[in-house]
Amino acid sequence: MTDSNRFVRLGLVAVLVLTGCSRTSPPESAPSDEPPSSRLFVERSAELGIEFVHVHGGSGKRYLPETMGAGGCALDHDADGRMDLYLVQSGALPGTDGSGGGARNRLFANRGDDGFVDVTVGARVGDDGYGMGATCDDHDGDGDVDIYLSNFGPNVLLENDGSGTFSDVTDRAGVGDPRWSSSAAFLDADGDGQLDLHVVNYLEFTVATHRDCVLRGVTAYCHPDAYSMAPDTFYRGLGGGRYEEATVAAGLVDTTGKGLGIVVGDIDDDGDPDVYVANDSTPNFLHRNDGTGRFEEIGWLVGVGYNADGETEAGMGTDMGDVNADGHPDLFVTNLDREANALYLGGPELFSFATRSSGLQGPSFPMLGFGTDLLDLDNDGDLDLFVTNGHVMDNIAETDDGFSHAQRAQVFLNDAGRFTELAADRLGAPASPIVGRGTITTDLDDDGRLDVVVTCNDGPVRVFQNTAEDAGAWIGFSLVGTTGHASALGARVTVETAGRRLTEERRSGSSYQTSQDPRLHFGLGDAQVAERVTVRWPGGAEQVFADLACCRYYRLVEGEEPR
Amino acid sequence: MPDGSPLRPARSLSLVVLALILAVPGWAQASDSSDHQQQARELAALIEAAEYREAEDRLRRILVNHPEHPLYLSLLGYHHLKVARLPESEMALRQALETRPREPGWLKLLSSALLGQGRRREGLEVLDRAIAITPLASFRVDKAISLRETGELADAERELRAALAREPDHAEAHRVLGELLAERGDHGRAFDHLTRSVELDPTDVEARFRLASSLLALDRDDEAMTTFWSVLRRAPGHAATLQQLGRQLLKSGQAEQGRQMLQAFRELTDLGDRIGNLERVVRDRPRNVGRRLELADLLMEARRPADAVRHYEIARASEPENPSLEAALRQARELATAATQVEAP
Repeated sequence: MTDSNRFVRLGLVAVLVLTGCSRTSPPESAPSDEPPSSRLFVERSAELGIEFVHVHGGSGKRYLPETMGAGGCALDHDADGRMDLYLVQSGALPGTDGSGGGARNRLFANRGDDGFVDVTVGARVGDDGYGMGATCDDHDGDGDVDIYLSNFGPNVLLENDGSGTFSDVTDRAGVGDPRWSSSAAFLDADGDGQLDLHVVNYLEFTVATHRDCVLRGVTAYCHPDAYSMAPDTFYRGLGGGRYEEATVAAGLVDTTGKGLGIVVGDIDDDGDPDVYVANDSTPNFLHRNDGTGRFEEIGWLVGVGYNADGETEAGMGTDMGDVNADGHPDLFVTNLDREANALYLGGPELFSFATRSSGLQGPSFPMLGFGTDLLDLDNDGDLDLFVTNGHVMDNIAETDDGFSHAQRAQVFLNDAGRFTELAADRLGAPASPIVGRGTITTDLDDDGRLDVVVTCNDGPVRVFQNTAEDAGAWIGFSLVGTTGHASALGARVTVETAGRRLTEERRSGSSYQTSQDPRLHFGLGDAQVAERVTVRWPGGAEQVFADLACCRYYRLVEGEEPR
Repeated sequence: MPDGSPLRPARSLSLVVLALILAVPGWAQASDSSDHQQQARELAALIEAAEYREAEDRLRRILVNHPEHPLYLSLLGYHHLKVARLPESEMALRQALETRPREPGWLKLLSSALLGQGRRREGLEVLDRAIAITPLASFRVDKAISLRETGELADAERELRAALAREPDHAEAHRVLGELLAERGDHGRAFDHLTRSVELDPTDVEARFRLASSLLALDRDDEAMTTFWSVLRRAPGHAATLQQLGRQLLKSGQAEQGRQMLQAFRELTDLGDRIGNLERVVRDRPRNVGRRLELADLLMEARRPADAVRHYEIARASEPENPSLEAALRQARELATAATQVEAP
């Protein structure tokens, strides 16, 4: 474990370069009359050397892709045990005279006490496509993390050679989806030990088909209904790092949504991964896996396709987790302003609409949500909620002065399945308005308090370090599969302690255009020991460990004792 | 993306204006001659009857001779508001208010024109002026709806409670307060207000749907089912009700029926999405008659004749000689009338 206070020390010597997402109006600093420790988050990007400014390349024409990106991922690219950050860039939109030509994605390596170092060039990961999202996982099962890029334009797969240096293997792998992709997730749909890939695509938009949209007399980014929907793509893993396009063969015939977010998990507890897709103004999809890698879309049937009022919503980001600890995974989706974000509580057969009963309706109604994570921010043993917000219309205030482009992020603390928004003076830095898009949950300093990196549209990334003083104990696991895929995607870990039962699943890709820290994290509250830890590995094998001491990360290799 | 809040303010406008015409000094006050009063009443009635084209023609003719008469300017503003010509509405109402700056009805209309243009701060300021002069419940309900959209929930609730303190039997105030309380998870108190709202206005299907939803949240499933069915009798195209009924059927083990109902819901919602898209187009381009007619036709297909009537009428203001439009309007009116004659339980 590294020193949890090192971020603070670094802050003493750092030069503040960038302080906000908005280029024109830096965010207000957090209230200065409060000691930093009383706030949940402190912003550390400049101190840590993570100097990254997303550029959307806007030419003034308001091409829709400009306002939709971009994300990134947490990954340990050089296998040194520390979480690095990969951030996606957009730049000039191809075919336009927008600014930002030459802008590239960037990789920031975590050097512990020395902060972060930009290693983009050496690692050869500076893709210059018009980027949207990144999904980082070990696609070929060789023990190192690879990077899949969702672009406006051909997607890219960057394969790690084990030394932290990457090669573009898109053509060989056959995963260069040319459509406008937003998010993606790896999964082993058919349990054959080879990862498959689900790519979520948004709209059939080209610069040539761009439409000039006007709202209340003002030029505005078009509503997605101005364009046709783009079908998602499912790639079946063949082994050897190769894939074949198998969307229809996998039964994914109803993929014509306007997809933005994805999360994968075993929603029906039958041991295989199901896929949930957040669609923008079309019904959300729940693709249920029959165990053979064939899917059936059942969102409309089980109650996660629409809201309680029978309406489609503008799904952006999504996450899955058991917020009420009843053993059934729940789904959360961020939506447009004047729509509430949606919480669907899982049950034996149907989901129930819980947005209102959970207390999320009112606080989320005026916000435009994008990235989101269900995570235990205070380590009290339940899943809290982080939502980053920011309007799609840069000039929304001109057409409706009750709303703004930059918006505060929101944290909702969970109390037995009911959420309460954390007040701005307790939240800290995320309370300053930004044009947020992706959220990357990770533990950059390995202190067991989950940090959140928020990517912004046309602005600098924000690194929110969790400084909760009263956080409980915790335990974390990195997983390595041996009988199935090495990534252990789909493995489910259940921690039982002090009468509580907490479950997390190893998944790739969630939220909005991002993928998260691959380690599973559990808050333990006052307990210093995880009394019983059960791992259900992909393929169904189970391992049980007793009395694991708190407050450290364990490496669990399938069939071996914890390390 | 929705057109706006589920707490739609549309119901309140006509009722408020009628009340103002009949009871509040404004369009026909003592200082106006009896001729003006009579003309104003007739014009207001024409607008209320959605005879927009005729109303506008008459108003324009009158304004040639009385170009600054606030009574007619305010009616012109009202007319423009009804046909979604918001900047023109604002201009006419501001002109009227220059002469009589304390007319609450005109201030209310101006606030609607401003809010409709996304100018919330101005709109709420003007609405506050109207409330300060005449604190009608419907004024406060509109303010609450706007506050709710921007997340000012406590203020919204305060307005609604003030509305009910003044007018305890204001159905819409009960409904909106019930919805706010339900959103906070306070289904017990929500139930009380929604029940009262339905008692006061049995034709309000949204209130009835919310009441059924609150019953469901209170685990009173049988009563919820009965109430959902009563919504469906009044509004066969109420998609949300189809969804809830389908789910309840599935839960009760009637799998095939539940699936069929959810399938019907899905198809209807698809239609609803197409309607929503067109509503956005019409909102942004209110004078596009072709798209408005397309929208009205879809609303008929979705069995929402009352909403269709409104769009057919606005379209007719632009195309008064269109016989097929006249026939469509007649059919929509008949269906809308039939829908309101469903017997209350």
